[in-house]
Amino acid sequence: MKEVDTYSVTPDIIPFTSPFKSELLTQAELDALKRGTLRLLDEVGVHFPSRVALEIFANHGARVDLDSEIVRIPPDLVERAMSTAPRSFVLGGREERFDLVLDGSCSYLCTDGTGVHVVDPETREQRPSRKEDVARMARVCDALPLIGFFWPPVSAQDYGRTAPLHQCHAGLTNTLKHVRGGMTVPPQLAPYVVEMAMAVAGSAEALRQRPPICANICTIAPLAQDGHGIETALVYAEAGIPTSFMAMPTMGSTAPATPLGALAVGDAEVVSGMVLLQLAYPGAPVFHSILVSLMEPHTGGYVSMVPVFWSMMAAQLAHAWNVPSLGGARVSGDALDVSWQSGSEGGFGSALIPLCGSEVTGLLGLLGSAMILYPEQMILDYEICKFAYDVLHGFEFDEADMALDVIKDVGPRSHFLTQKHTRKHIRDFRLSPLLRQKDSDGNLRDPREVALEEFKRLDEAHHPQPLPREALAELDRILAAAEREAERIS
Amino acid sequence: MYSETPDIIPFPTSFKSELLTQAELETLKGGTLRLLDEVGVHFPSRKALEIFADHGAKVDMDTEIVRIPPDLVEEAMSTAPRSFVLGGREERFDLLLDGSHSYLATDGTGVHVIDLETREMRDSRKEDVAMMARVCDALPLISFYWPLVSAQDYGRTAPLHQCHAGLTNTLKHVRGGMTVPPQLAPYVVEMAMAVAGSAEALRQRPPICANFCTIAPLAQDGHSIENALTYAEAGIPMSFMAMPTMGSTAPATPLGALVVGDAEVVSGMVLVQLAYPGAPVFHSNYISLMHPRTGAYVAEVPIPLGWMAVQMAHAWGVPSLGGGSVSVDATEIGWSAGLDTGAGAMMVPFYAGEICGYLGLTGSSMILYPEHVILQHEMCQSAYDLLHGFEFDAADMALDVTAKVGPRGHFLAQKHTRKHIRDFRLPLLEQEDPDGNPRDAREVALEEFKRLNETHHPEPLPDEVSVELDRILAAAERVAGG
Repeated sequence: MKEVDTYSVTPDIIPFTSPFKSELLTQAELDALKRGTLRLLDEVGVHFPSRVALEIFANHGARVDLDSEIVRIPPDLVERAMSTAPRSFVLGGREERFDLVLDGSCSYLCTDGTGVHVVDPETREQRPSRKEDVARMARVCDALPLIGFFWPPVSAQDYGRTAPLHQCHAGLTNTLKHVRGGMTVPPQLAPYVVEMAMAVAGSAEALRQRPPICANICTIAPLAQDGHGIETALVYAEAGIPTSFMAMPTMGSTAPATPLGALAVGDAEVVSGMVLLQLAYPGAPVFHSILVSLMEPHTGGYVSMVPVFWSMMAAQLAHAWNVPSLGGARVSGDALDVSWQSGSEGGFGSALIPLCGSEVTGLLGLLGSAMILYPEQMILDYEICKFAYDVLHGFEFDEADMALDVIKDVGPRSHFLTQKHTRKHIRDFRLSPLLRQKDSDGNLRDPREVALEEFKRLDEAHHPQPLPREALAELDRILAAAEREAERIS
Repeated sequence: MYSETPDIIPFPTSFKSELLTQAELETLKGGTLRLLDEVGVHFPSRKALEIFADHGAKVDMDTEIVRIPPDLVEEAMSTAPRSFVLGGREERFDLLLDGSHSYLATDGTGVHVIDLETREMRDSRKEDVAMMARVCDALPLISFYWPLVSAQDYGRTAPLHQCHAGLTNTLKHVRGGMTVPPQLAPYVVEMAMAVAGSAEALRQRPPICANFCTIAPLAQDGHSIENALTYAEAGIPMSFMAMPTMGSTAPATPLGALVVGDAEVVSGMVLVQLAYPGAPVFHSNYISLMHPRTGAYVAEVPIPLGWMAVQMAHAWGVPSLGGGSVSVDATEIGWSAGLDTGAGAMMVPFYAGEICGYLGLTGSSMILYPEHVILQHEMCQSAYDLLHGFEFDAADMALDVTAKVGPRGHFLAQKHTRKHIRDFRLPLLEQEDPDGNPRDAREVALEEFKRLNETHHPEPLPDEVSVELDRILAAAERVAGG
């Protein structure tokens, strides 16, 4: 690790507060959906290929079939377990000013993950993603105040089986913000993730109070859990690391071809995971995430632009279960390159952020359905979100700003160019640093080119405060031990 | 033989939100009333000045400044209808401006066209107005046809030819009235009357409306004001559109620009109400910013000014032309144009202006790439899909189907899947080439535009109406030539 004498100041994060949260479903409709989930959990069940999980369920009175590994959970057990899940909790940053309070009062923007291709900022060739890409993106995002939550945008493919640990490491060592450092790993490696979080937090108690990482565990549609995912989640929950379960039902293939059907399937998967954690560790912080897609009826392809506002419904459903939501709106889209399509997908998604009111949302920085990282895309997406924030975070009404006396002085058919009031206020407006830029010949510059330049500037100039030397050494030790364990189990 | 025009699809305003409180709106109205009373507005029209004087406004005939006492403003505005109809060729194309729906309009009025075939930029022509009217006739989310470009091949009578190209190429409502020399305004009325069928029908379901731009700060255009009186007499609805620019023609604060624009718009509406009480008027206030270093025009100000303008319109008890807008500042169809389109489309149901959207132009309403209207219509369709509401049917949870499939199964072979998998509108622009590679959205849009341009030919007007329109145009040409 390079030693630096001075470091860059990380700006405070800006939560996306907005008074414009909307609702698509009524309370009665949400209750109907929850009843659907309860029925699926009770009558159909969820596949939990984990002996530990099956035993926890059995011990609490769920109907467990040890052969088929299907767990059926009675409604009252679901309700009882979910009643211990906290509605609000903290995702910690390196300092308290980077803490995210997930209580529904604001949304925090997160980066998207986890892509596998990087269009190199220098060669501009596409190549597999590496740990250094995660580190570079963490540093650059550290400088972008609307980003509150760093999900490693790409995979550290140069590290094979321990890639998730290296992504976590690259995040924790390159940004002061909260890192989504926990992912599904072989269960034997999960304790090393916890150790890393502990090394950064300072103590087991501090980790519990202000966990510097959270985890995300993907479920398998329909109605199944990944064995490693579930056992990893239990390890994280024991240590107090918050965990989201993310369902990704595809209408027509892994879910019914109706949005409510897909929501019910996804919800049952997510809730089953949350119930397990609550039974094992009551009060463990969990959050809820469903991403619905559609199978293209002719080609079988993946369609993420589903013409139904399922993301708002998913956010409402999370809140109906009384847990925070990860999801809502996304600015990253399906376009494969920076283009009209990527701009329109971003603009569209950004306007939905305050409407959905998910606690963690946005998913900035990737193209090609979360597969490709063009580094400049993070700057472009950020600009999109900044504009949405400026327009939608509310307006401070000051009657004096009507400037009636100034208008009276100027009168009809005149101009305001020479007014003191104009000189005082004409620079009050934030104009996009990407738009209307001109080159030395006076020609308009492509916003993408300006964004790449800005990315490179931040990449060169922004070096956030490093972790204390002993924490860095400890992280290296943990990674080395994890490498040995990975070698042993392979 | 002609093509069927699909029904129009308005956006419901169920997601409408309020940015300003009622008290804040009252404060802004108070500001407008003070400006109208103490500062006044320039009306360079003898006719207008006399109307104001007759009703008790303080008129200075030398400076042509009218100062309107607050109670006169309130009294005049109380006769302006909150809701009225903009007529289409058939009733199914009528727009009811009552705040329950937003209708998408095309943008106007550009002067450059990227030719469909040569792809070179050239001056706009009447045939472009006609082509765009035909293609927009086929796009159901577009309800209000504002000629996108100017019929520059017709000089002084260009606005009449734009109106003619609209009325003869789409069954939808046409924004056919613009500022013309006052001698030509009666010909616009005659054209509307010819299409409506009678003076009474014109009044009930006017096939055109008009728009008049005010001049910031606090001035009216003489021709516009006299046109407005001509149109109002016939019952043609009209919007007054203010375009204050913060820093040059308005104070450099959003609220200052709002009240300057509002005072201009309200002064026009008051005049029309004093002359023709109950005349249908609507309100439009477009605020921009002077770039502090270059002096350039900046439309994309990071303040929800369009939203405040809609609320102001409604606070005055009239419909709004404004709100969510997909109009694009960038000159090219690229990332920036996409961003303006995506964000603008989402704001349509949120701001809930009666007429909004403004599809089709780039370069701050100056340049027409024909395919852009297809791209923007598609994005508005996506916004509509998400935000027009959701019909909750508990049966759609399909719990029995999921129970049958069970954990780790799949839904491919289910009857329910076969029944519903085609229920979804698929994105028009996400297509693959024969090799399975994704096609450029713009290329797909151009292809779709050309297809509609070739195949969509809406029902023509009755022969006798077409002949009558030609006669009116010829008469107008003679007056304009003289």
